[in-house]
Amino acid sequence: MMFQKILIANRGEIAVRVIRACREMDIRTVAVYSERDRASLHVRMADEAILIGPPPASESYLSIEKIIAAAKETGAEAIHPGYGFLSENAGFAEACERSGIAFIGPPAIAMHLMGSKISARAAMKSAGVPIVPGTIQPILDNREAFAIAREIGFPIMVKAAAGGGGKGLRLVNAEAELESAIRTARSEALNAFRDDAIYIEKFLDQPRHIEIQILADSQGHVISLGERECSIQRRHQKVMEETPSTFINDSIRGRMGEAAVAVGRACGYVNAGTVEFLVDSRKDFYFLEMNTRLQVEHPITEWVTGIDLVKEQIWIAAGEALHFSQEDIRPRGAAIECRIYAEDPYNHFYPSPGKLTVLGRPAGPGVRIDSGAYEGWDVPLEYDPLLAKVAVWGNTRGEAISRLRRALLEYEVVGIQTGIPFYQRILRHPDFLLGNYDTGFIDKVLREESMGVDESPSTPPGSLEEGRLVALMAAAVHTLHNGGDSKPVALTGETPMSRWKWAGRTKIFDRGGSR
Amino acid sequence: MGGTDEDIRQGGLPLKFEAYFDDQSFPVEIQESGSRIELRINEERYEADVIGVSLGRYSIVLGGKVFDVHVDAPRSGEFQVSLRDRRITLELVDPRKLKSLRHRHADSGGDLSISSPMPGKVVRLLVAEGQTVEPGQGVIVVEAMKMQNELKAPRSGTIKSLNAHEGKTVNAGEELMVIA
Repeated sequence: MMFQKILIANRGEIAVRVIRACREMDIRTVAVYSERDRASLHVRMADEAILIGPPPASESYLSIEKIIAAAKETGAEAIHPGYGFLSENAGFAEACERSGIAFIGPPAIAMHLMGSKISARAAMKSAGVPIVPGTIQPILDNREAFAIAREIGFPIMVKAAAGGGGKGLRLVNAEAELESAIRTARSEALNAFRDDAIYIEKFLDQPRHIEIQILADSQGHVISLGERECSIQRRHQKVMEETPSTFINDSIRGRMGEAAVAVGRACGYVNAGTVEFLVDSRKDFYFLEMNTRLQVEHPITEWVTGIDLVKEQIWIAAGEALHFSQEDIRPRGAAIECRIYAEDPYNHFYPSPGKLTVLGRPAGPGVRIDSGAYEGWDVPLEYDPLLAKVAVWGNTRGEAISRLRRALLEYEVVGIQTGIPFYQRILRHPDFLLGNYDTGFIDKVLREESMGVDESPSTPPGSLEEGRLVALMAAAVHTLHNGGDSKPVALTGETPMSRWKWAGRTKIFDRGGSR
Repeated sequence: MGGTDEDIRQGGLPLKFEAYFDDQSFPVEIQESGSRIELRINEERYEADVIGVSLGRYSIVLGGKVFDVHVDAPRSGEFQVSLRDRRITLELVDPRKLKSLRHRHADSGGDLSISSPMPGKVVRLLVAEGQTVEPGQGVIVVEAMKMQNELKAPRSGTIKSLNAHEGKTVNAGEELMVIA
């Protein structure tokens, strides 16, 4: 029986995405929201909405109890968790089941298995899926650690079994560093996850990060929908994704797809999931982890396959069999997505919440925007900075790149800052154009850009370069029409002429794990 | 210059500025007549057609080329002008009245103010009033959008005043403390 009403246990662009699928399926939607999100787009778009608590996520979007109560109150038969928040919380899936509510995602047991890196590695190894060389048991004592490290060869990684977000992670280049690395990784893991189990893995130098989308139904069909290349990351956070990957050929693509299907079968997976692989310079691939939910970057797979993944998720959760077989999946063309965060690329990528005074969105052929923002909205500082995703499709990769540049040029965002100018740089970078990049790419671009600060193109001293002339005209007119436009700001010790500072962000930031 | 803004808008007297870029500065005269803008820089004349399309957003036609730009004025006299993939910071200073911000800064010497680089919430205060700090020592942690940013003392000194407490919501540029 198809659901009549679905509750979306999320906010922002992904809640909007799920509402759109439901509306096309004639399913009523229930939004949940914190006090801070009353004016958010997902609430405005839903059919019904339930207030679930104060702004901190721990008291609202992460409250299993309040969300289950909201579903019962509204008579929602199913809950879509989106990504983040409770989406990979096996306890939440179990709570839904106990309450007789369908969880639109995998069974709790698959989430448990994939939630621990060690149990996932062990399961994958026995299923014949290649894993990064290393241990599949927790390391018990240092002597064992030394023996294993010597066997697989330095450099190695010491990792927390419960790991995530870069915590409990140590790179060890030589034997002398191993003992202290184990000690610090254990204590960090204990603090962060209350679990000091660690394991050892071979360190892959600047690998590619390529993932495979799978769909599995409750009748035992598992298919793969091709790859997404996610190597463009900043601080372990994906910022741009594309499909197909320029790095792998059809033979490797086929083997990775088969491996991903094997992963799904090995853990009894049902619904949409993503198997992440690391691919080294010799194009050997290794299982990294499985994301047991919809991914942020799912639109690029939708572009090339023509399949609506959210609708498939809903059909699967309602017990239907997949509507197509592996042979029906024929990806066409190329798609690229970039994530529009509220951040200032000219100022260390600092977060930039605030009022969105003007919002003009790109349109035209092959452009898709998934966004939780609207003009006049006050972007909250309490939540994730992801404002929108721009995903484009082209017949070829070249067309997709040109189209993304064009779309970003049309994007008008005033009132807050976004990473758009930075993406324009990436989209012109020769290595990106050649498809020649790995997970170290952004750091490299930032190193180059920090040298190329806003210098004026070489003009004779005393003459004014065109860009600066335009800036001067605009500033002068702005002054004339805004009567000097002065909101006085306390002077600080900083130099007022802020330069391009999108590199060199030396302070400590952590946005949590990558998705 | 005896004219008011109104005179200028009607094509009256030119307005004079000193324009400062990162590594250049120019004396500028500007005259506006409808959407026609004329700039004089030294002996050069530049003309453009400039219209406002929305708050802070301008469409400029200069020598037949079209520019769509956005102007932010974070502080009096300071402008951040966003072009397609470039942002240019400049200052316009009335040569008779004001010293450039950078000169004012240079004069301020002595006390050093620490301000928030972004809007956010103070999640941890790591120093107390009267405490001495070393260069590089963390003094306060501001959080926004799940990112924590620890601000550090740029030099040694004593915390002279403290304008922040844990849980306080702060704006970008808001002074958090002064190091003497």
